[in-house]
Amino acid sequence: MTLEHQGAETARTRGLLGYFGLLGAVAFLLFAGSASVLARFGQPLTLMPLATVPHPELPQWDQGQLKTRAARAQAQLERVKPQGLYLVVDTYRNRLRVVEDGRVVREALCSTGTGIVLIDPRNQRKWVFDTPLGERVIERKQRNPVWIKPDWAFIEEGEEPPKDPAERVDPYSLGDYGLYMGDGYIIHGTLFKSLLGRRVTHGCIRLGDEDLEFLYHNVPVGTRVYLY
Amino acid sequence: MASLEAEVALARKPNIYLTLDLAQKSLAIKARGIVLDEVPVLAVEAAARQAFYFRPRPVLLPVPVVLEVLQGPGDTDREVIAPTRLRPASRQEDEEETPLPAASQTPTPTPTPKPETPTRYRVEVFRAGTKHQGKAELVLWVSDSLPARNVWQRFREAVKEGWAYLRGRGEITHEPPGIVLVVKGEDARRLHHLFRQGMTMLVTSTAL
Repeated sequence: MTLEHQGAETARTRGLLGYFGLLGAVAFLLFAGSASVLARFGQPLTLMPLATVPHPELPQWDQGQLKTRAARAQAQLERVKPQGLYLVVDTYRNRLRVVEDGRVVREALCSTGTGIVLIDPRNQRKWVFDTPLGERVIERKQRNPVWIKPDWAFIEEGEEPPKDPAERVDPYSLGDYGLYMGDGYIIHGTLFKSLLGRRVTHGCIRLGDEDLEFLYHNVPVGTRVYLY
Repeated sequence: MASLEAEVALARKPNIYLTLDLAQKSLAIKARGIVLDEVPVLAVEAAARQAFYFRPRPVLLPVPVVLEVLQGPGDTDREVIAPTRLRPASRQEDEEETPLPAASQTPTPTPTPKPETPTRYRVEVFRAGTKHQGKAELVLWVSDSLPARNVWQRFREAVKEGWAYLRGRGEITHEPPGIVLVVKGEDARRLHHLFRQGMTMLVTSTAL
């Protein structure tokens, strides 16, 4: 190949590179320009520091009024706090705590509601198997409680609820003691001890035998229960 | 003082409520003024949908404020058992003839598969005592980490939304501003079931 030919080849390669480079630059500018125009229409989620301001509807109290109102609010708050013994149930960790004067005196493994929704195929009636959240009260206590199985206990098994009430009686499932919290929610025993610590119930709270016996003998009727 | 008075109003009801202190970065689960449990908050940020080319406007939150959950994951993330038909109940006498071992008495539900409790979810809230008309005033994002929102990601999202809008296949998203609450993954799961309709949260800032 002569020097003349080599020079021509180099010049052609440079020309091609320049041509494609220019084409690429134009394409990039067109793309970036279009994207920038499109971006004007979007509203992306933007993170920023949260700024808090005093509520504008708050009245302007002087220091004396503030102190008086704060003391009154604190006293009101103290009045609604439970005194003496109360129960706390953590439905996520499945733990029941017996608290006396702010001190945990016993902690027990329990089982709470699954949160499952059951639908009756006959009329689309729904049941939600949640352990209720909030405050409840131990309304009564019973030794050897008997479970009168409600409709859902049969429907869940794919069975029609029986017409004969006697077929609903179950004297075994609730264990030795029952502490009733209203609306059918009971703290009771269980046949399935290996499931303690799991969310497996229909809303009731299941306890092991020793913990249940402790509760039956030490928690009086009227005790408040806090479920969260 | 206003926070205390707001809490008194919540504590008078027999419900669980949450208190979020933005300055102290602490979230407490309470009832009747007592702390049932506490959740450390790793970070609190605001989030809002804003036009890409504008400088981010800060989200101002007047405090104290009581927020109420309009809809949360505790309402929606549910397993469902829906038998298609029912057979006649088995009689007790039959069961007595052939007693079942205790373990086999365990209910055998066939629920819809439930995913593991998420560590990131969205809670729609409104100011308690106001009319919400089914629309959230504020969104609470509970997450185990701050979502990465750098300039490039926001630009890409803005372009995507703009393209959908021009093609008539999307609308500009109008979403209320929100608070991003970053907690540990386990804590996010722990709070998940509490965020259901009617749950109240008192937001305060002790620095004010």
